[in-house]
Amino acid sequence: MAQSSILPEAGRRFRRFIIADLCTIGAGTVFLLAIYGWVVHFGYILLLAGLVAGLGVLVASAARPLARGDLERSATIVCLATWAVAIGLTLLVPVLIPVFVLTGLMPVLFALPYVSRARLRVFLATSVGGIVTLGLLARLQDVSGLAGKVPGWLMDSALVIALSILGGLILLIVWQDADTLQDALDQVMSTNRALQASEELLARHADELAESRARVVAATDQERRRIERDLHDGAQQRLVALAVNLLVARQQSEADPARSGLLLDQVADQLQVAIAEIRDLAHGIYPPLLANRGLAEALPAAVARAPLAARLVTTDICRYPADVEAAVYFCCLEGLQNAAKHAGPTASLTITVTGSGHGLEFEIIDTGVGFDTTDTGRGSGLVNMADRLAVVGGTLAIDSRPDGGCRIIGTIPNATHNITRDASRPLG
Amino acid sequence: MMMMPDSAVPVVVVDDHAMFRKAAVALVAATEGFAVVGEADSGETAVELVGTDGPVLVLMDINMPGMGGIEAARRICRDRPGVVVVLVSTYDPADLPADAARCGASGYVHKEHLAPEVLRRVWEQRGPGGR
Repeated sequence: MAQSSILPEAGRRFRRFIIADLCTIGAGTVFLLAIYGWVVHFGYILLLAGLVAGLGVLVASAARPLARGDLERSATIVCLATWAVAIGLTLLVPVLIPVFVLTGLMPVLFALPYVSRARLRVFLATSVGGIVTLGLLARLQDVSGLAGKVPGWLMDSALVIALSILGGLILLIVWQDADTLQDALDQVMSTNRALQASEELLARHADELAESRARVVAATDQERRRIERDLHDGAQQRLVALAVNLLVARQQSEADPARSGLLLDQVADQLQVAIAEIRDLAHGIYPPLLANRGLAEALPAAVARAPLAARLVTTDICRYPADVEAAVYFCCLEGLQNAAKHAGPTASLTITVTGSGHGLEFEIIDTGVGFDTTDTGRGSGLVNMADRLAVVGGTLAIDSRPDGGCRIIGTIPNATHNITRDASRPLG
Repeated sequence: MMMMPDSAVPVVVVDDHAMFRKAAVALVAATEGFAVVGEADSGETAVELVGTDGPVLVLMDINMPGMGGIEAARRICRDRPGVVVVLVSTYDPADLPADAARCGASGYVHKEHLAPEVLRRVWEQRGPGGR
């Protein structure tokens, strides 16, 4: 049990109780020793001293579980030790039984907030059993015969003083218990508030995730439509026209060889254009260089094709999972396109990609016209970048101001998960 | 309108993709008995281009910006019942829009299958002699 971590004050209160317990029993013992030394046989003094020494050792042994935060075990030891002393003293001085009953009840009262309900039942049953035992012992035994040898006024005074001290101690224990219970209540309330805040945060993250997922799906559909359109309007039209031109050329090859040759020349040229279009289209879907050689070779090629002055700095990057490489590559591409569109004709751009341990970070800085992030919000390009990174557990930060350029930082804390691809696959 | 032999079937080629339009024009020119009398890169231009006299064969692309081939075919067929409009596209017949069958066009030819004999067959079946 580690209640001290939940209730930091409880351990300190428990130590105070052990000290008070020891002091009270110690004071009572000194008092009894004085009476014994005065009235009874010296041998009983040794017995009494041994009893108290045993108590001291037991109570001190309760400090070890206390230091570990195991208040329940500590409380159990203190309780048993106190009961043992109470029984022992009852044997010696049965006339002071009310004092020993109260002494025996103290640990139970103090242990109340620190032990489990199951253990508390044992404590209560033991206490009842202990009281009955004390009563029987007091009734049947008077080992020392002290009651008959000490003046009545002295025993009465001792009883009154001891009861007063114990009464005060019990009130103090109740006061401390109240404090501990209040601490526990505060802790529960605080935990409850933290839990509510966590639930709200979780709900907000779930909403953001759902929105992000919807945007990713929409972007994917849009991308599919774009590819279909590009294929239909580009390569497919060219190939169909080529087929028709070849048909015409074949038909005219005998009747009009010159015309047929001209058509075949056109077909050859158009074929080269169609091949280039298909290559560009495939490159836009997933660049072969990125698939085969990773960011280290794909990014320089992308920067070289950029429509504005751009520089690339890569440090400690290696191969990463395909989704991570695609996210970083297309974010950088988006950054290049954004800067080309919005940063202005004189802007230049620097991309820095840095690998560190398991993480990967990129920074896209342009010297363009910038924008006010509070007014403009995020354009679709920046939202796409954030969504791409979110899919691989990354985040995006944007810093820009009018006439102050733009700085985009993408961070993927765990970029090296699940690398399964063979990086040595040759270019196709 | 371009000049053409008196006996040739006058053909208008409508397509927003210049490359295919040129190829189709070359095909028609190489087909005996047919002659290109006009080209258009949109449905709107095609509607204006189709003349008021004589039967005409129109090769009409379906997917074009603006009016589009189906709407252009519907207007031409409504205003000029004698004109034969053949829809052309790169889509499979199963993928064609439903209104392609209701626009008044005489038929559909996949661009890949456009050939002189197809032109002749369409004209024989759907032209003035075939109806």
